Amino acid sequence: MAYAYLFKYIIIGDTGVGKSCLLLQFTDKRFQPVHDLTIGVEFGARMITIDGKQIKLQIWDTAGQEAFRSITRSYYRGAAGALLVYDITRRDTFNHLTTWLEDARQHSNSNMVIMLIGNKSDLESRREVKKEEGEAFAREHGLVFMETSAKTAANVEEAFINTAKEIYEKIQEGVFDINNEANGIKIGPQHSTAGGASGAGGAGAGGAAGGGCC
Amino acid sequence: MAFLEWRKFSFFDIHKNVDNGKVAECLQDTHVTATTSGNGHVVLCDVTGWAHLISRSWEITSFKAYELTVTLAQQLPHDPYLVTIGDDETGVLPLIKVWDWSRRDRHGNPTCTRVSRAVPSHMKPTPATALAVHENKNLLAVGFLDGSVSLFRGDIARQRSGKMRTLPDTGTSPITALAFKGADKLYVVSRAAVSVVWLGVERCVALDCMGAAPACAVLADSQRLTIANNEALYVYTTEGRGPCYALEGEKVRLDWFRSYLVITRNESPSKSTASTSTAPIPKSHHITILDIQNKFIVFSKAFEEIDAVLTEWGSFYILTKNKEMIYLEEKDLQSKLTLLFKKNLYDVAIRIASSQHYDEAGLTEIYKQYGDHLYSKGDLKGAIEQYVKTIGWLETSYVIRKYLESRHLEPLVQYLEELHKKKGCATEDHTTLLLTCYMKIDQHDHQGKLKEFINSKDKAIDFDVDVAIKVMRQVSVDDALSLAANYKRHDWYLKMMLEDKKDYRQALDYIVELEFEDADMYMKKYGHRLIQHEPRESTNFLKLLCTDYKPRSKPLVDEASLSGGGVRASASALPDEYIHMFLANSERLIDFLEHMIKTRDDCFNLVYDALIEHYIHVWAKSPESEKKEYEEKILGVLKNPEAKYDKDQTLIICQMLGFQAGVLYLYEENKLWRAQVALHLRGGDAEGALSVCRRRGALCPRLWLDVLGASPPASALPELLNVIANEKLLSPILVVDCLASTPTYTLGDVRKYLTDVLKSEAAVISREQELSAKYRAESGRMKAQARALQERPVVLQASRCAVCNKPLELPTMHFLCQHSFHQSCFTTYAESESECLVCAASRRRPDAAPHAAEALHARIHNEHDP
Repeated sequence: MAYAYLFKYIIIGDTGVGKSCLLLQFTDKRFQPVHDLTIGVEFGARMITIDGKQIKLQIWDTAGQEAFRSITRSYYRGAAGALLVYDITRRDTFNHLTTWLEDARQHSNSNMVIMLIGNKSDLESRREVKKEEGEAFAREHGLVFMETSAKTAANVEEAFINTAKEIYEKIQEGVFDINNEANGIKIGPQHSTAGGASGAGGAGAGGAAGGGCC
Repeated sequence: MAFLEWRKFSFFDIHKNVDNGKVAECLQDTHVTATTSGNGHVVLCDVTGWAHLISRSWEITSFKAYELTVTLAQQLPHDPYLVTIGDDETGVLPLIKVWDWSRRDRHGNPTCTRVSRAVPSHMKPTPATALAVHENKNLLAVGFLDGSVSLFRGDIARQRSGKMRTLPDTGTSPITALAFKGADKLYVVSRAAVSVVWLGVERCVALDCMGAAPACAVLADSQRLTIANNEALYVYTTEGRGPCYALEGEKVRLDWFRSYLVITRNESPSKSTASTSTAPIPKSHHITILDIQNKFIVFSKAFEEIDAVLTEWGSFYILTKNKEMIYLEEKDLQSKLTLLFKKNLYDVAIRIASSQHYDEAGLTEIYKQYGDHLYSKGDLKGAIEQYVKTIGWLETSYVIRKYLESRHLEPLVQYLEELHKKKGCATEDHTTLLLTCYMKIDQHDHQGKLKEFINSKDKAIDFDVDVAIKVMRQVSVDDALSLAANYKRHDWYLKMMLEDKKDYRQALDYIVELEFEDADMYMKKYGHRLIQHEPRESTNFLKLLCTDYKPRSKPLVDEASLSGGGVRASASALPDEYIHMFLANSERLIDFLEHMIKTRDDCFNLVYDALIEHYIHVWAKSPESEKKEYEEKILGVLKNPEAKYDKDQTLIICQMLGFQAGVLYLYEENKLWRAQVALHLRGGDAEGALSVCRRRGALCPRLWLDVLGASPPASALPELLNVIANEKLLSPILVVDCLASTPTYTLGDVRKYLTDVLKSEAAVISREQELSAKYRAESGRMKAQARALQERPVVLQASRCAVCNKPLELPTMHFLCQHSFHQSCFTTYAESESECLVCAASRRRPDAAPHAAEALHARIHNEHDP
C-alpha cells in the first residue's frame, strides 16, 4: 500500500502494563482480556492520515520482562517514536519509568519522540498513580503525556496519532534526517521515485543507500 | 526461565525406528554431511561422497556422487533434480553437480546432467558453505566461506548454459544460508549479517548486523526469513527486521514445516551454567516446535544427538547420530482439541481450530463447549461471549433456556442483541424476549435500556419493528409510539394513538407530517374516527389534502420548483373518497364540500350529490328563520349549470325530506309538469298549480284537466273552465260530472261556463241546420240530373274541340257532359279514357269549391267526439 512516510514505533514499559493490548486495540480495534505474555518482540502496522498524507505506522511491541531486555534493546535503534507505558494501578510500574527512559535515551537516536502513557484508565477504582503525577513526570522529562485504556479504547488512537503528528512536525522542521533510515523514518515509494535510485525491482528499497545498522 | 515461554503442548507422537534400520544399514559407519528432501524423496549425503535417495517406502538408491565428499545438497521440491556441491579432488574449486534421478543409467543411478565449478569472487579454492536453488530451475546461488556469493542464471539442468556472477557487497564473513524470495530477491545470511540482494539491480541491502550459524536460518512461508541465534529467533522481511521470539539456547538447526518452526538446540544440562557451557560431554539435542501463528510450543523433547531434521511426506523425521529415524506424527485436530478441552484451554482450541480452517460447525461446537465451561464456572458474561459466536449454528433455545432458568438477564440481553445484529437469525419470539428483558431490566434499575433501544436510529440492532411495536404496545404505549415514529410505521402509530391514547389531535398532527400517499392512505383508514372527534381540524386537513397537499415539514416552495424544473404536480386526493367519513356531520361535510367545489373544478357527481343532500339535511333541521338561506344555497347549486349532480337522486332526496322548492325545480328541469301540478295540488297550492298550467298549458293541456280533477278551489274555476272551454279539452258533460263530484262548488261558480257552453251549443245547432238544408237541396238537384241522363237522350252539339278549340273533325270523342274532343287531342292529354278532360281538370283544381257532400263527409270524418 502506498504511503508518504513510514514511522517506526516501539512500545516499552514494565511487564503487564498493557503494551500488547494497546497495540491490538490500535491495529485490530479489539481487546483481549487474557493475553499471552509477549516473548520477544511482536509486530503491528496500521495506516493513518496526517495532514492529508498517508502514513504507515510500524510498531514494535516489546516484552517487558527484564530477561528480554537485551533483545528488546536492539529494537530501540531505528525507532522514530516510543510509547513508554505504565499501569496506573501499579505504582512500581511508574517507579520504573526512569530506568526505561534512561534505557531508551541511551539506545535510541536523540530525536526520538517519546510519549508517556498511563494505561488502564478504566480501572479508576484501583488507581495508584495520580494523573497529576504522570503529568509532572512528563513535564520534567519533556515527554507528551496521556492516560489511555486499551480496554475501552479511550485515547488509544490519540496516543499513536499524536506521536505521529509530533514526528511529522519534526520532519517539517527539518529535525529528522529523513534519508537516514536509522531514524525510524522512511519515505514512501511514491516519493523516492523522484530520486531515480532504484530500478525495476527496487520498489521497497527507498532512497537509502543501505547499511542503516551498525 | 521456563515460565517465560509460550504455552506448551504436545501435538506430536513419536514413532521410533520407522525405517526398520534400513537407513542405518545403508549409512553404516559414515556420517551424514548434507540432507535435503523434496518431490517425495529424502536425500542423505555422506562424508564419503555417496548420495542416498530414499523413497517413502524406505527403498534406498545409493550412488557415488563425488570422489571425496558431498558438502551441500538441495532437492527441488517439484522436480526430480538434485543439486549437490562437493569435491572430487582436493585443493580445487568445489564442483556443482545436477542430478536428474528420473533418468537412470544402466546401473540404476541417476544421470548427472551438469557439472560446473562454483567460482567465488577470486579464483582461490574456497569451500562452498551455502546453496540455494530456485524452484523455477533458472536460479542457483552458492555462498562461500570467504563471504562471496555467486549467482547462476539459466537452466540449471543443462551443461554450460547461463552465466555465473559474483554478487557485490555481501561482506567477508562466511555465508551460512541463502534463500530466494520470489525470483527477484535473495536473502543472504552470513555469520555477521543478514541482508537481501535485489537481483534485478544486483544491489545488496543490509537488514541486520547480526548473523546466524549454519543451518540456523530458514525461509518461513517462502516469505519471511527466520534466523536463530542463542537468545532468540528473529524474523525478517525484505523491508527489514520484524518480530522476534525469545528462545534461549544454542541453536543447531532451524527447519520450517507448514506453519511450524522446528528448532534444534543443544541441550544444556544445567540452565544456570548455560552461558559458560562448552563442555562437549553431554551431547544431546532438544527439539522444540513452535506454532508461529498461534504462538504455542507444540512439541518439546530432548533427543540424543541429531544429524538432521527432514520434512517430507507430510511430517517430520529426525535422523539421529546413531542413524535412527524417528518419525514425529502430528496428532489430528480432533485429538489436539480433546487434549485442550481436558485442560479447559478452549481459547487455545479455538485459535488452533480456526488457524487450521476447521469447519464452522466444528468451531461452533468448541464455542459451545467453551461457553458451557465458563457457564458452569459461573462466568456468565464470559460464557455469553462464546455463545454469541455460535449464533447461526447452535439452536438459540439452548442458550436462552440456560439463562432464563438462572434469571440472568443482562447476558441474555447481550446474546439477543447479537442475535438481532446477525441478519436473519432473530425471529419474532426473540424480539419479544429481548424487549421483555429490556423492560424487566428497566423496571429494576431504570437504565432506560428500552429507550436506548428504541432511539437507536441507525438501527444498530436488526429487529422486526412490527413485532417490537406489538410487544411495546402492551407495556408502554408511549415507547411504542416513539418506536413507530422512528421507524415510520405510520399505521402502528396512528392505530395506537387512536385506540390506546385516544389523542386524536396528536394523530392528526402526525398525519399532517406525512407524504401525500401516506397521508391519503391513512386518512382514508382513520379519517372516520378523526372527523368524529376532531371535526374542525380534520375537515381543514382534508380540505388541504384534497386540494394542494404538501407535508407540513416540507418547505413551502421546494427546490425543484425554485430551479424552474417544471411545476410539480401537486398531489391531491379525490374528495369523493372522504365524503362517507363525515357520516352524520352534515355541517362539516358541507364546509368541506363547499371548499372543494370552490377550489376544484373537476369534482365528481358524488361531491355535488353529497353537498345537496346534506344541504337539504341541514335545511330540514335548521330553524325556520334560516331555512330561507339554505334554500337559496340549494337552489343555487341546483341551478348551477356546472354542478354535475344526479337529478334523479337529488329528486328522491328532495322528496324524502320534503324540500318542495327543490322538487319543483327538478320537475321543471325534467319537464315533469304534471308532477309539478300534482305537487302543487297536494300542497293545496292551486294558484301555483295554475301558474304552472299557464306557463306550460300550451304544451301540455292535460295540466288543466289535472287541476280540474283535483277539485281546485272555487276561485280558480273561472279561469280553468274558461281554458277548458276555449281549448275544448273536455266535453261539458264530463266537466259538469267532474264539478258535481265536489260538493263545495255553487252554481254561481259555473254559471258563466254553463251559459257559455249552452250558447255555443245553440249556435252550433242552428249552423248545422242551415247546412243540412243546403245539402238536401243540392242532393235533389243531383238526383234530377242523374235521372235526366238515364231517361233522356243527350244531344252532343259541340262543334269545336274542347282542347284545341278548332272545329271538330273525325275521329272525335264525345262525353255526356257535352264536351267533345279530337281523338288525337284527347289521347294527347287524357290520363284516363273514361273521364272528360275538362271535367276532370275542373274537379282537380284546388280552388274549386268542394262538393257539399264531400265537405260534409270530410267534416264528419275529421270531427271527433268530444
